[in-house]
Amino acid sequence: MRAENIVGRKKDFKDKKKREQILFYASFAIIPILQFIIYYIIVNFRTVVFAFQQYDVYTGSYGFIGFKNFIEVFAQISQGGVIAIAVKNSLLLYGVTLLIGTTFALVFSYYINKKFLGSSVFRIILYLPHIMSNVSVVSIYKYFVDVGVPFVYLNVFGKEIAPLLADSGTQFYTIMFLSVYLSFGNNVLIYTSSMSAISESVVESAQLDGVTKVKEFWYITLPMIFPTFVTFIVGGLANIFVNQMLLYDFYAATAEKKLYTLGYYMYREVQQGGPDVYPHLSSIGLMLTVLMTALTFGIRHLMLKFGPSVD
Amino acid sequence: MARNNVFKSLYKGWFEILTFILLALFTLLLVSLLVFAFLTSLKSNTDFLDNAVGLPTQWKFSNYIDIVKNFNFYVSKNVYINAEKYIVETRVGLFPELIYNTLIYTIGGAFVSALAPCLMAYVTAKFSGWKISKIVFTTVIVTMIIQPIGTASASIAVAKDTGVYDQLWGNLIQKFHFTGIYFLIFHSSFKMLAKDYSDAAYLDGASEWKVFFYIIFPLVTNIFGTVMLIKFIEFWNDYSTVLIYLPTHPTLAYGIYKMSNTTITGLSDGPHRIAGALLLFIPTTIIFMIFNKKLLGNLSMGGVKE
Repeated sequence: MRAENIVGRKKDFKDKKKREQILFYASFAIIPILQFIIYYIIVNFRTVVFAFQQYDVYTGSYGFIGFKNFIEVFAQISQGGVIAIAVKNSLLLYGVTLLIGTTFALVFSYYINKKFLGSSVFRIILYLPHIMSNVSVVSIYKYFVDVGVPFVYLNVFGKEIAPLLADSGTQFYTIMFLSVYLSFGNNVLIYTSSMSAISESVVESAQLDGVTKVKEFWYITLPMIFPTFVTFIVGGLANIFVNQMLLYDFYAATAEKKLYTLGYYMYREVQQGGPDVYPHLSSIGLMLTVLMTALTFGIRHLMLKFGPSVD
Repeated sequence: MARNNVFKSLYKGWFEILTFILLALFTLLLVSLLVFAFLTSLKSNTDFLDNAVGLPTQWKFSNYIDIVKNFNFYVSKNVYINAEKYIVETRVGLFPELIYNTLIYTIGGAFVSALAPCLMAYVTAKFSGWKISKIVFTTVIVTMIIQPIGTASASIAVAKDTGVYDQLWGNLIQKFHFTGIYFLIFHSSFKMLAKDYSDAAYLDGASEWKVFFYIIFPLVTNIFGTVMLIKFIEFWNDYSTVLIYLPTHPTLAYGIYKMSNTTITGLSDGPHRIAGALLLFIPTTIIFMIFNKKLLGNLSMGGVKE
């Protein structure tokens, strides 16, 4: 009898404790989960639904039209319309950012991690653009390249040059330069964090063997941070199609079509347009999401398979 | 012999030398931009056009006062009836309103952006064996890998349907999500905390809530504070979200964006626009100068490392 009482009391206690735990879990999780359901799941579901609809301007409602939106997007691309231009510019921007931006970020991170001359100052300088608003930087940059640079060029070389943003030959690359330049800081922070986790003993034994800095970077540092590098590259793939290249900061909604990136096109259309553009933008978004998912898994697999390994 | 040694050192150290030069060039460009901006903001327009890069002939600190006192812009919202666009609620926006909206948007936004992942990470870490915790954790990973594109249209539609569109409190609800890298950082930190503290509290009869608020949360305030800082800076500089989701609640960043395109007489010249741009930059610079170690420190899984 006594043993049963003890077991019964233990069971009551456990149930009470379990109840408290469930209540506690619910009190912390219910609102975030509800928020996720409404503002992530339902939003994404709505995007998929929009992609197969068309807005009726007379009734103000949406009707199902099958794949018509997707066909129109492909038609626009094949005819070299604004979406084709935006895709081309987006890919170019990503390629330049990957090649130049990522390379420099890795090299700068290695330099800072090794605490070479001026590394603590450079670390702060590289991060500074990250805390500055893009609209502030662009405001300053516009006057710098359109007024400051021509003024200095005239005084130094005695020749007049056109403002860099006014000259169609330099406009796109002037904007792209700033976009890539501002991307360094965040990359450096992440790579430096990853490099600092490399075991000192590995580095020291390599140095004892007389390895140069370049060899150390190539054969030790890069393989050891490669998983972080892959995560960063793969995670940044989506940026191909959302990067506005600061165009809205430069031109608001009035950028010339030849400058468009997909990110700018999508943002501009949703900001300027009404409910009639939602299906068109959602169809583009859905296609890009499917493409990005396939690319993400594919590239990640290839990089881990063929990239350098710690072994 | 000495010359040979110098050449040898230069040859061996070419990587450091080249990288130093590149970093110096990067620094030079940024410093040039900032110095150019500072000097320009203190010039008259005539002075600026005559001498774009030199010192001001007359130091016009009044440019900053001109902006705060005189800058205004139209605040309006687009309403669509069928596909026809109607502009409603047109009124003049002024600086005090920008400051008020900015404080709620940035501080409130930073707080909820840190709180949601913190709460979810704690319960999923503490009750990691529960099915729901595994589902939540997997969901976070999946949402980080698969990033939907082009959802702004549906997001606006859902925001309007749920009544959070163009509401400051509504925007805080939209920011109260747990997915993202900070969930993983909090999760890892909670997992690594020693159970001794909480076990002792349980023995004394403390409830789960008391254990969290009095024992666990104080141990992660460093991470919570750093996440809030990072998000604060992000929201302080963000105007593109405000442009879409809070059209009649402009923030300072939105105001500066408007300022960069303003046609108001006396404020539309280069010096005034640049002064406006620098105004936005000052608070985040001060924050960065005070908290740069936290911001540049390793906010990694496992806690904040110096």
